[in-house]
Amino acid sequence: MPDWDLSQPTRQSILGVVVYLLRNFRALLSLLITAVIIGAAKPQVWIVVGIAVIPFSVIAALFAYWQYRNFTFQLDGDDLIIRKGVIFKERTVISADRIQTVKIAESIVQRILGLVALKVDTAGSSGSELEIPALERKAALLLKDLLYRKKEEAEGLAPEGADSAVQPDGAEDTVRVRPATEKKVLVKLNIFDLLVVGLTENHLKTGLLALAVVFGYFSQFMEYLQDYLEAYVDEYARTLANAGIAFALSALILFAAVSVLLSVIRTFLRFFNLKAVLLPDAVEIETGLLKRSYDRIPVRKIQFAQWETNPLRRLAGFESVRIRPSDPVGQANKQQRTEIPALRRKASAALAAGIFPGYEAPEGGFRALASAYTRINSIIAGALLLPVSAVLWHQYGLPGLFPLFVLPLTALFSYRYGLKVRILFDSRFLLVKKGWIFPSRLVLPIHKLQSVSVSTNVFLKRRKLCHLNLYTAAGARRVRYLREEEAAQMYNYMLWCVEKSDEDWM
Amino acid sequence: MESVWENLEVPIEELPQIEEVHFQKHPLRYRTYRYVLGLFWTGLPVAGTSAFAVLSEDPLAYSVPAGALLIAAFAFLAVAKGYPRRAYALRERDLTYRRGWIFTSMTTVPFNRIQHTEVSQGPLERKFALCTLNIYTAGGSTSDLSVPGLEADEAARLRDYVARKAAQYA
Repeated sequence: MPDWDLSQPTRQSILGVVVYLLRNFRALLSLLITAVIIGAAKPQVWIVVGIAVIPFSVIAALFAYWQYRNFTFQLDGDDLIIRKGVIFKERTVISADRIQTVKIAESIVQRILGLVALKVDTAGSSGSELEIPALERKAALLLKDLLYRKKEEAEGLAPEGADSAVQPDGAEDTVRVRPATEKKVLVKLNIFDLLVVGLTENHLKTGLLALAVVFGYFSQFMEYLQDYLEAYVDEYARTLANAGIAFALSALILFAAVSVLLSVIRTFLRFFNLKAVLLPDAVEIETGLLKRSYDRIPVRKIQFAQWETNPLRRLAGFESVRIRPSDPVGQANKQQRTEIPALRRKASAALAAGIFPGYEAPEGGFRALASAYTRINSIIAGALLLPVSAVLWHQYGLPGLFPLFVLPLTALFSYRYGLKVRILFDSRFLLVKKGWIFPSRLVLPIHKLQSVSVSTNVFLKRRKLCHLNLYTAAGARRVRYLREEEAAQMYNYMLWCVEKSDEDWM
Repeated sequence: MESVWENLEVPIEELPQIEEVHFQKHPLRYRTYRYVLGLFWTGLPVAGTSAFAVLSEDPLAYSVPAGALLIAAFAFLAVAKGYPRRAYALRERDLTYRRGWIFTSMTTVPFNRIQHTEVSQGPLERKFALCTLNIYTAGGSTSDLSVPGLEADEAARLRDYVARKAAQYA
C-alpha cells in the first residue's frame, strides 16, 4: 500500500472504473431485457435494439470514468469528506464522532478485481449509509482502523467497556466488566455444516420467498408478455384443465424440490465460510460466497437476540440466532447480515453471556392461555375452509370434505404452540419462549425497551385477555393472549424497571 | 395457572400501577371534531356513489351507496363509542395514552426514552382550537405516541413538561 496523504482529496483504485461500469450496465439491464422480449416477437426490432445498445454502452462507459474521476475522499481533521457526482455534484462531510460503524463488503466483481467497498453508517441521519465502492483491501482496512481511531478520539475517553481490541495496552482495565475473553470464535462453518444448515432451512419460507421474487421480477414484463401468453394459454387450456389434480400435484412436488434446492443454494450464498467472533465489546460476522461482508455489531447497540431452531436442525445440534442492533434505517438488509445460522449449544451460551453481560435465564413469569390460540386459529381456519369444503362437497361429493381434516390439526397445533408460549423476566432481562415444532426464544434486556403497550379487543376482553407489545429500537415484538391482570403486572413492572434504569439503550 | 415470582427486587403489588392513575379525558368538542372529520371522509364516497346510483338505471346500483352509508354509520359509532375511552395520564416519569372501542390499546412512553416532542395542528383542528402532541421514541413509528384533542395552552404546557422531564431523565 503506497503512502497515503489523506489530508488531500484522494481517488479510489483505478479499477473502480470497472465497478462503476458494471453498475451502470446493471441499471440498463431491465431496459435490455424488455427490448429483447419485444425483439423476440418482432425481428425488425433487433436492428433498433442493436443500434441503441452502442450509444448506451458508450455513455455508460463515459459515465463510469467520470464517476471514478469525480469521486474523492479526504480526511480533514476529524471529518471525512466525500465528493462525488457527474451531473449533480455532491459533497458530504461526516464528523468522526457521528460514525456508528464502518463496514467492509465485497461483491463478486469486487473480489475478482481485488477491491472492497467501505461503508460508513452514521448516527441519526435518515439518509442512506455512505459508501466508498472501490478500495484496495489493504487500503480499506487501514482507512477503517483510522476512522475508528478518529471516532474514539473525537468521543473523548472511550466509554466503559469499549474498544479494548484496538488498544491492547488498555485491555486489562476494560475487559474486567465482561465475562468474555479477549476474542472467542463462536462458529466457523465448513461445507458439511453448510449443507446441514441448507437442508434444515424452513423450505416453505424459501419457496414462497422465491415465488414472490420471481413474480415481482416478471410482473415488470408481464405487460409485454401477456399477448403472447394468451395465445399459448388458449391453445393448451383444455389439456391443462384435463390434467387437473395430476398437474397440481406435480406442481406441488416441483415446488418442494425447488424450495429445498433453493434453500441449499441460498445458504451457500449467504453463509459460505461464515465466521462469527465474539469480542469483548462487539460481535464480528464474516460471511458470504459471492458477496462477502464483514460486519461488526457493537454490543451496546444490540437491542435483542432471538434464537430459533427446528427438529431437524436440533438433531444436528444447531440452533440459529438473529442479533438485532438498533437501526432506524434499512432494517430489511441488516436482518440477514446479523444471523448466525448454526451455533452449538455451548457457543450459544457464550454468545448470550457476551452480548448480555450478567444474563441468566429468568425463571419467574407467566404463560399465555393456550386455549385462546386454539379457539382463534380454529375460527380463522374454519372461516377459510368451510366455504371451500362446501363448494367441493357440492361438486365432488364426500371426498370434497377432505380439506376439513386440517381443522382438528390446526386446533392441535395451535394448542401445543400456545402451551409453549411464556414470558419470563427478572429485573434485568425478558425471555419470551414460543413455539412447539419451531421453538424460539427471545432475550431482551428490559432497559432496551422504548415503550410498552397492552392491546385487546372485545372478544379477548370478554375472556379477560390481552396482548403485550414491546417496542425497541430494533423493532416491536408482541406476546399474545396473556391474562389481563398478569399483563398489567408486567406492564407496571417493566415500566418501573425502564424508568429507574440509567443504563444506555443505544 | 401458576404464577411464579422469583428473582424480583420488589413485591409487584407495591409498584406504581397505571390503572390507578387519574386519566384526563378530551374536551367534548374533540368528539365533534372527529364527527366532522368522519363526515368529510365518509360523506364524499356516500355522495359520489349516490349520484352514480341515481344516474344509472339499475336499481341494484343503490346497494353501493347503501354499503358506503353502512360503513359511514359504523365510523360514527366508533367515534361515539371510542370517545369516552380516549384519555391520557401523566406521571412523574411517563406518559400514557389509551384509546379504542373494538380494538383497545394503552401505550406508555417513559420520559427517559423520548427522542423529541412536537405540537401539531391541522386545518380542521385549528377551527376547533385543538392541538395534537406528538412524542417520538427510537422504537419506530409504531411506538410513537400522539395525544390528540388538547387545548392549545394545555398542549404547550404538556410539551414543555414532557420535554423538560425527557431532558432531565435522559
